[in-house]
Amino acid sequence: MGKIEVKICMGTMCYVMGGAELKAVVDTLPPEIRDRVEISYSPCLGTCNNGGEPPYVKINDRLVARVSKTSLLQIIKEELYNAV
Amino acid sequence: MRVNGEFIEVDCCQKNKGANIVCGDTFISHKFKEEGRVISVISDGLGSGIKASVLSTMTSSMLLKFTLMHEDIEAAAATIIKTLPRDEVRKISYSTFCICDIDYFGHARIAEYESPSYLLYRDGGFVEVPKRRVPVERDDIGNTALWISEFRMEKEDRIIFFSDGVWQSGMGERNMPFGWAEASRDFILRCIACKPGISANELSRRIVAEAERNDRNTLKDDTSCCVIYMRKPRNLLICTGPPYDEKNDGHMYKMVEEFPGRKIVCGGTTAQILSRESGREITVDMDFMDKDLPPVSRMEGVDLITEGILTLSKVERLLSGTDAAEQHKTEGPADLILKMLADSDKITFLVGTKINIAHQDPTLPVELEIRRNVVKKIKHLLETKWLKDVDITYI
Repeated sequence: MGKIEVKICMGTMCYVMGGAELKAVVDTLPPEIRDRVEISYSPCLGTCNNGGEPPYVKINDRLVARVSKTSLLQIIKEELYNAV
Repeated sequence: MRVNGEFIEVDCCQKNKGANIVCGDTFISHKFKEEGRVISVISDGLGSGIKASVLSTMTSSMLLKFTLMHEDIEAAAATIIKTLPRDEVRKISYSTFCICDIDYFGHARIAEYESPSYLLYRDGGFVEVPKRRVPVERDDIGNTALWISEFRMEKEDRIIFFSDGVWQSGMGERNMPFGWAEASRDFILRCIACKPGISANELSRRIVAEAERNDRNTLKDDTSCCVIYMRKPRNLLICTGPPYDEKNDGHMYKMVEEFPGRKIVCGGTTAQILSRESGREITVDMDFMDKDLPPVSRMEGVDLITEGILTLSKVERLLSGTDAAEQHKTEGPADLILKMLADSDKITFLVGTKINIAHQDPTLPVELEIRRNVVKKIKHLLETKWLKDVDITYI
């Protein structure tokens, strides 16, 4: 089974717009999902400047805007499903 | 900065007698940038507590002003003695002091009144400087005098002066029945021998900690120790913000790369510019040491990378001591910056002035300050509270 990469933006805008809370989600992923996800943080991805919608998360190479605590888990699950 | 390129680091450690909430000693030090002068005073008021604190505060602040205006020290001392309030019980008005005035050329002038003699450390030992005795006429106590000494400070010289809390610590103990007086000299020599570059900050803290140990961890008197150290400046660069004009990205990278000292980068975009220009990769730490701030990052050639405006704003709050909740020392990004600031003498801010429009959105959940305003506040605090040399370069 393939692994997916999840990169959470830690730029100022993403952090204040809810990025700070995403750490709690990735820290408490169920073990069967956690094993298949490569998590890292990133300095500002540079997408928030021109009317962007932070916080951003990069899943594999796909940039996802306005990620929330609830949507992140869903997005990871969907991506894992597609990766199978 | 002196004429010979040296820096004068001044620091003082102070602890109160027993469980007193007020210190009866007062330490003041000011750097007068335009004149290149550094004036430092310790005054010890009669007794302890509030009464002593009033006496020593008046003495030290008046002395500083008189000295700054190049007033005659004898006249100043006489005026101070006449001005101080009289103690109802002892029927005298009394406080001791030691004031050290160092000019741009490194010429030091020290006046002592009834305080323990200062120490001048040079080349592995203490140097005895000839002192001139100036009698002080007063109505209540006879035979008091000022001691004036003058000398030229040399590289790596240290001037150490303290209140008698240091001198008399341990008095009455079996191993030091007459106090720590002479043995304190050996202790200081040992400290410097073990760590030749020991900072004024660390040395003053070590001396006071040892005095406290001598007094079985409960000081019997207010205890202050000031160390003045003429040293090669420890340089620190804080680079924050992208340049106003993108064309200057390369120039900013060059300035960071060639800076002779430690380097901090505050700002994700700034770090990425440097990463792009240098071809080095940035990795973000997985540990959040401070719940209010994004984690630190690493890149070869830079000592610390943090987020920008949130972190700098926290540094400013910590420096000004306005946020009581933030008094707990942690290993968070702002605390790391603070530690590096404390261990530096000359701090250069390289501030990119590009405004991040997204930060100005009034609907944001937190208010984001404008970078250059925060940096200006930090500069002011570092200069006045921590006596650092600070420069800002805008790019």
